[in-house]
Amino acid sequence: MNEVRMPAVVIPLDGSEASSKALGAAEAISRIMGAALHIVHVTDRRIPESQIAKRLHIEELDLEKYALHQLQGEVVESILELSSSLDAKMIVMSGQGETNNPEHLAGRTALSLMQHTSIPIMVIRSGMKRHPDKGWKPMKMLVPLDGSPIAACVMNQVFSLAEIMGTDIDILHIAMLGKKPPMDIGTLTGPRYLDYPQYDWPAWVDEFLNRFYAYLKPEAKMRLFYREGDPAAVTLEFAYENEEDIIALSWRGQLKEKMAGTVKGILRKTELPVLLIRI
Amino acid sequence: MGNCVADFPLIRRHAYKVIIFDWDGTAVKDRASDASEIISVLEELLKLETYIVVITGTNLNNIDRQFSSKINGPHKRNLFICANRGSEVFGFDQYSKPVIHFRREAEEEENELLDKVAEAVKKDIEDRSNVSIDIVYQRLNRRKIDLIPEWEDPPKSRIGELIQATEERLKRGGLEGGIREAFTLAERYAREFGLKDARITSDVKHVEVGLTDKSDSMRWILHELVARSNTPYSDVLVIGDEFGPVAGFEGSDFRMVVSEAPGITYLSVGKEPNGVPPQVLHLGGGPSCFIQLMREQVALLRKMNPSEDDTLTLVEVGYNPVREREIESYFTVGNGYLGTRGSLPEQEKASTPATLVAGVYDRVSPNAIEELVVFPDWLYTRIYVDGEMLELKRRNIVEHRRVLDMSKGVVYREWLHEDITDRLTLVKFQHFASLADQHALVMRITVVPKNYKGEIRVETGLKMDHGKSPSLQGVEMIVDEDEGWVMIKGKTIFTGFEAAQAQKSKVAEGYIKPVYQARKGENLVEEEWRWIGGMGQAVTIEKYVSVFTSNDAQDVEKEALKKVKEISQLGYEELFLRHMDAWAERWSRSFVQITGDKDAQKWINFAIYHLISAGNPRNERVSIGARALTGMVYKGHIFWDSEIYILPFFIYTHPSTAHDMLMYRYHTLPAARQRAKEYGYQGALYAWESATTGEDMTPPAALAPTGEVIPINSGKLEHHINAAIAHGVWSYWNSTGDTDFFIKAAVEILVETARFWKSRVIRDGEFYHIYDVEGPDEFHEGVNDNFYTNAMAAWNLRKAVEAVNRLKEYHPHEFLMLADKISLNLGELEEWKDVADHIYLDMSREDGIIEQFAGFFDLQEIDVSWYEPRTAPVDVILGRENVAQIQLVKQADVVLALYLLEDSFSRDVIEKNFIYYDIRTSHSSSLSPSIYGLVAARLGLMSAAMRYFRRAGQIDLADNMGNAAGGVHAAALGGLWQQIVMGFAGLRTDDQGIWFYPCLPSKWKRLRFFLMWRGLVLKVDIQRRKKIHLDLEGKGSINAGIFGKPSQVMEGGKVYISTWKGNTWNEFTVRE
Repeated sequence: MNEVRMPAVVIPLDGSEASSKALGAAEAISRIMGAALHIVHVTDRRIPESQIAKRLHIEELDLEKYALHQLQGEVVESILELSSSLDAKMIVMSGQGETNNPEHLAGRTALSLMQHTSIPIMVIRSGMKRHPDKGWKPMKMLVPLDGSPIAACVMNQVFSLAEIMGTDIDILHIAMLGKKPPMDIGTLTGPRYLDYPQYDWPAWVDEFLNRFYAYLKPEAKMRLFYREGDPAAVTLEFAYENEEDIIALSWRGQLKEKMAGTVKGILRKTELPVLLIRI
Repeated sequence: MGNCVADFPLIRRHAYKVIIFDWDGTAVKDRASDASEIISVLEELLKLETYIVVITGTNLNNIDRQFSSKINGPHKRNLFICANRGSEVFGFDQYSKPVIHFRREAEEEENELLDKVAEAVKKDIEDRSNVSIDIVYQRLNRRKIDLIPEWEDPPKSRIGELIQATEERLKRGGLEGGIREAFTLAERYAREFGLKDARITSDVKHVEVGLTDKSDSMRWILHELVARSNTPYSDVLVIGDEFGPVAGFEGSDFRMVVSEAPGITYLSVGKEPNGVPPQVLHLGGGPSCFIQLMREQVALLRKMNPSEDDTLTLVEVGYNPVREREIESYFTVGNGYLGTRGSLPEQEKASTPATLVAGVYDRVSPNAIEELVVFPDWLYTRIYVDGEMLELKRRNIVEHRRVLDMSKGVVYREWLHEDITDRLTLVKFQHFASLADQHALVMRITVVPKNYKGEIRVETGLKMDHGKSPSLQGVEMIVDEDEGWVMIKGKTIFTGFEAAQAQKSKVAEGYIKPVYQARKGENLVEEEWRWIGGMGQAVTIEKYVSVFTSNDAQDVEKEALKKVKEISQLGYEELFLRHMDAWAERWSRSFVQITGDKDAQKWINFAIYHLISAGNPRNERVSIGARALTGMVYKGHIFWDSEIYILPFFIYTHPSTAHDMLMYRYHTLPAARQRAKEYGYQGALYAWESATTGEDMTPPAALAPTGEVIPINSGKLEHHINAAIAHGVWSYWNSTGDTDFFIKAAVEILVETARFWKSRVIRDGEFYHIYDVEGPDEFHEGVNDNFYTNAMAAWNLRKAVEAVNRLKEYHPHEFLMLADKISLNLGELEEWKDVADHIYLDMSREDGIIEQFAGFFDLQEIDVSWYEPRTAPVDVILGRENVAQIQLVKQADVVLALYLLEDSFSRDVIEKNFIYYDIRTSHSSSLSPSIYGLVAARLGLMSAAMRYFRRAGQIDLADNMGNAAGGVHAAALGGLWQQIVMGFAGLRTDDQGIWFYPCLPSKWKRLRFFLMWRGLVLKVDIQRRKKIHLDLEGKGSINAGIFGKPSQVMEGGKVYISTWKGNTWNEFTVRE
């Protein structure tokens, strides 16, 4: 008989207070997903069971209910190996850990994990005014899309996660000055021609949404919004105004200079959990 | 016996899948002949996937040396050589090397018997006479008894001499019975010695005793090729040169006539002095006839296959659901009566199938606006293999290719599907909406299991649409399984149309006999074909569909059924050929040929294809909507685009379509009169958005995804549509001289639109003004004195005066009738003239720049280049309220006036205004780039002209915008044609005549196109900065010339030439 494994959510904790800021969200997400929460701590010196809750700043977590993994070795590699062996549905983590330098986009471990995993990763900025607690119930997920077909490919995962989490999806397309439309075949940016707005706007909305429906018709409720401006700033502003709960971003996993400007811009200032989904 | 092709016209109308023929005497005169010509033709056929089978008495080497060794490539796998008189069949492998498929291996005992029989015959003859006989032993499974050894290898062309010489030799030597006696002896000894099923034949020189003959070749082909590919016998053609008796013996090709395969066509190209058997059609003509027949087949197959000219095809490889809806728009097939989007027949999730019938609108609710009704999807088809439906998923696609052939309005699709058990199924589709018969829709579906045997089921039917658009209501599903047809009948709720759509499918007679069923479901009617298909066995289903509405029939059900039966009788090929001929005829008068720029050629071909597909010359109650019949986005509404952008193409290439587009406006005059009345004006005010009756269908507001509610004021304020229609009316009449139209419709439209303008203007001091109006630039609503509107109104008023005066002078009786009908008072003409002369047009600055409307110059300046690059239109980025305060122009407005009313402006004024407005125009409308490009071309600003031309050409075809998902931009397509003809070729027309002043882009070496002008056909051939050839077809004379130079009288039937000299075109001279 095949073993039916419970879905897994992984949270790495390095023992810093900053890293524990993601605990509430991780608990909530694992609960909503019906998943087991796996806490992973990579250390050269094993922490005795009796001290672990305190050392990892786990106050209310019922260790009986959750799996705790103390691993030795290279931190990022160990977390990724574990996540992979568990076939984790999501990694939830704080953007900052021990070093906790607010000047930085994120801590070294977080940045490395973000760039090396293909598992959706939810980043909780440690400097957020409010961090989700275990009772958190996200209702709306904001998905900024640039209209390129490759970005649309991640919608399968977005739909699936939205369905599992029970959130609605708000898609936000942002027109930009100073940037050429993506040239990939199949790209749909803002309407190039609005001969008559009474027809071209609804047609554009239909077409924009149809492109994602083509991959999978979502169970979740989906709405489309159109804004203009700097993508990161507009996304954050829109998320605030519309009381979004999660910002989901598709990205290529590259944080080099001049790359992923929107992802970086959002990660620096977000007040919401950011779900990164790798293209 | 006469012209070989004329005696067998079917060779031009039926594609044979298997062509079998004898070699010597049929394909070539003899084995020493040069066969290069026939080889190249046969090779073409092989490439076109025709099976070519040679059945010969000789061995492979002889045929290979002369024929098959000269052919190499994958297509050679379609070639078979049946050699040694039925004893061997060879095919060819992937390396083009021969491989044996079949060989009759004689037993040792049989070989001994063959020797024995041949030797007995020889001995018998030689014992009884002094005739010496030779025996040829080195032949597989047979022995040749040579009756005339001294004449080696006599050619077939000397058969008469051969008979005489052989008979004389035998009889003179003492064998009284001659050849016949030798033959009888062979039969007798074969029988006596117990050689079972001996095949005794004679080619006069020899009597052959063998174990096989050509009938064995035929049977192998029928079993192993025809049956295995399930080719219908009607698709098998057999050609020989000796079916009839020769010297009392059956002809050498007679054995190819097989009784168990009825329906095969047999042709003889031989002399056949003694006639042919009844199954055979005698053409004569020998190898030259044979090659003619083969050439005709090549021509036919090429015609039926997609064009090899890639500027005339759109090709989509693979499957990308993201782009599917724009592909559907591009791949729409239409015939003016209806259009069918090129959706996938299996209706994948990404598909939005739609068949739209011109002029058939309905509302989704009582207070909604009218929109085109989506008719049942007649492409709907599902294919099952052992119960599993074939789906177009990335993992299933081995190959998937769709081709729209724009030269003939046909969509071809090939799909090699692999299921999870590695079964490969090849599916081919073709479909078209007949341009020859507007009510005929035809589809062909071929399914071939490539590597398995299994149950194939094809369900194909008519499926109702349940999308957002209106569909037929009160639907009745009718099925007649005995007669083999299905039908959906229904009606529209609020507009009162009735419609019926009937379908009948059939399968060509072949080895496989599919089982047929017809049924109805909840939202569809369908026919089902089910069979067990073996590897390589193709079954083709031909599907015929007919649509009728109460616009074109009283009893829609009866007419649809009658038509579908009629077209199914005609058959796929015949309908296809008629359809292609109709397209060829339209293209022959509409083409634009550009030498040196393939992209440009493809863009204009795409434009012309969709324009032809959209035009309906048989219905005065319809016109062409903003997205033609390719999508539902604009609901099929008719805008000013129809007259200003689309109509000119038809005026100059297909006037009957232009006529009907304008008659639509005539028939909607009552609604336009009513509308003017409601607004408190006189005359007629045409609807900004028009549908069935001409009532305005413009919605009051739109909701943008920015959350903004956009009030739509164009319905209330864009009155320039009146002038657009008047312009169309005048242009058509001026170009065609259609007096009937002039009397019946033109004058009345011009009068009623002029009356509107007269009542619309307000006199303030010296001038008449038009306040609170909207020009083509819809960013600025409710403005005063929009220059374009004022200028076009003045033009409209003047043309109305001219038209009434003309009617009065030349058709006084009709004038009186019209005057009575519309209470026309001649005093009105003075009023119109007064308004035209005093409408406010003095809107130019000192430097000649025309103010687009009163106060435009006071708005904030803008240069659109400040906002480059960007991913959205400038107005969207800036916001509507801001845009109203700046000099941002949506689309050609003043510049459109510079084009339409060119003779009112100096070149200097045109150029200055072009430059001024160029930097202020966002081109947020697809109508804009072509007009800017046109004016730039006329000004010789070639860089700008080409920039706009490229932009206009790619409005639909740029595949990173998704612009065309809701349908192609018909006006932009018409604009593109105008940019080439009116812009680059510099065509101008006026009351006096027609003028050219070409200015071609440097890349364009040559530009050719046809125009119709006042009863003549003008073939225009422009070589950049070299020559203009003007070839005038037809009778009569016209005034024509180089723009800016004196008018010249030109006569039909003559060719006129202008040459480029210095920096200008010379006047035309007649070519002697």
